Amino acid sequence: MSHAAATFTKRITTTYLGALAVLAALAVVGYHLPQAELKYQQTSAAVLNLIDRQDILLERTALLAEHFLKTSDDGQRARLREELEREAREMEEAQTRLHRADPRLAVPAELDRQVHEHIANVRRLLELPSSERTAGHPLSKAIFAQATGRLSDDLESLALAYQRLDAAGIQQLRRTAAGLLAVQLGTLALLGWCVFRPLVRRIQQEHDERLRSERLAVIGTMAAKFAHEIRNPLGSIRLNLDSLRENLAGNHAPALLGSIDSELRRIQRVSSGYLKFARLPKGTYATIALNEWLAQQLQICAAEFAHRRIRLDTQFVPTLPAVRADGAQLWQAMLNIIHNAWEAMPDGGALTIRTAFVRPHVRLEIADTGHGMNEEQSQRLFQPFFSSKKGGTGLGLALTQQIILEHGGRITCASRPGAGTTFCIELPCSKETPVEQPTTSRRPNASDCPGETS
Amino acid sequence: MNNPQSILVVDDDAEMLKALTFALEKEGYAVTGQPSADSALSSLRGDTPRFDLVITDIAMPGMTGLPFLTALKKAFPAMPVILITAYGDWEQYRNALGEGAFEFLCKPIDKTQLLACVRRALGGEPPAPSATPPWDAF
Repeated sequence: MSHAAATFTKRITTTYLGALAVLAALAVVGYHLPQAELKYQQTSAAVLNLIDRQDILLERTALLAEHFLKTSDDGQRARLREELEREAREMEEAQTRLHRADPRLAVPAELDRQVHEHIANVRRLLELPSSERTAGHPLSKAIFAQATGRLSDDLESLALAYQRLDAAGIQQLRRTAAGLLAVQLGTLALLGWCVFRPLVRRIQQEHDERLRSERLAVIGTMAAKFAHEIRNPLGSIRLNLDSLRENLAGNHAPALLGSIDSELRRIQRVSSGYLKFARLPKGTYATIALNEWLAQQLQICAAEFAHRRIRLDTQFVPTLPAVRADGAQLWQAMLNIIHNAWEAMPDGGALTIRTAFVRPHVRLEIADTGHGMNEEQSQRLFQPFFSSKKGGTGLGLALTQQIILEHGGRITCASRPGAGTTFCIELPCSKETPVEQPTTSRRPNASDCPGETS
Repeated sequence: MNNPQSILVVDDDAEMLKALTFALEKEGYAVTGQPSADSALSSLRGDTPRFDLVITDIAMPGMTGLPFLTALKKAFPAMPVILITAYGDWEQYRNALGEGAFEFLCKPIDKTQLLACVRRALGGEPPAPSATPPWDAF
């Protein structure tokens, strides 16, 4: 997997996992909200039941107290006493439970006092000696007053206030749930934006790349067939021509044969170009110390540079990490650029080759002082079969780009008419230890690659 | 008069076969032409090599040049074999040299280049030193 693809996958995975974590957290909160609402409703029902029960007990004790004083039957009185005692106890417990039922419920102290006074009145009534047990006893009147008067009203007010509080609480819970849902939907939308959009773009890019590869494969097959069809007759023509030349002695014969020979060489060059572009073999990669390797390769061309009156200037950064490359292919890629530079400087000039380390790439710049190119030429530079040179195949720089791409790198070019051309090649560093190399010249300026054409 | 050195030339392209035969015979070699690797192998049956050198095309119908080279090297390890191809392909180049080809020539072949190569092969000289495959740059 290429470095760019790995970075892309890492970025997508991180975003995706981050969004999933947010969604999971929200889902947990979302799951607990209905449960919280249910619990809330159960508490509310319990509180209202308790208040209601207190009200009922209040009325019942008043009624039972009245019967207790009126009846003269000992058996009935004993049953009423028992019942009154039980209900007084129940009122006491209910009041205690009311305090604990819901922290939001504030039971007024006055109501508390009245309830306990009512219970105390009931218990005092039960303790009365039989001589004082008459229907109109003041304790009976007090109990009756509590049951029908202020205490009853206060209990009702407490219930109403609690109901209002309860409704507001439920509303708050539902608002929280709605907000949570909105955040979840927002996160999902963000997930879509952050993950699926680049994913779709990537798929589109891959689709385009596949189309390009398929097109190139078709061109490759055609070119291979074309080269084969041409080279076979070329082979016999060439040999026959050579044999014929040895047997001809006329004045013009050598010139004519020379012309045929030159044309044959031209066809040979074109067919070689097509074939090389069409059948770029899989690279044999090795770790290359670029500075050292470049110095060796350029040494071979030194005579050619001198012959063309072109000054070769190398500016290699002293410490440069190694690259993984197929030396022969990389040299072929560079040679195509150097050939173009030579042709762009027919009257001599200078060719500068710089190396630099721009993490995580090793950068190689090849700059000439030739006639340069216009914008259209620059833009179509790497396009297969495009050539601004007479007799050019238009495959040299296309092959160069193909080789650099196969190496996981990229190539760009900047050029202006009359101001020369600079090619910038970036290759991924080898994972091995950086290679220390002696410098031959000053440290290059690690400026950005020219990016007009790539 | 000494017996001329014998060369077996294998190529499915009749014109190419004719041109190669003509060029080599002009130099005094005894040339036998075969249109396929299969027919060439049939003509080579036996323990004694009948030829001093084999020149063969690679892309041919039936058995192609590389398996033919392998078969030849198995039967007659000392016999030099020059491969000719219309495809200048790195992989083929490496495979051919790996299998023991004497040299790998790319069509169209220069007569001087061909004869020099044949002379080297027949004279027991080492192949021409070449850092790069025999096809030219753009």
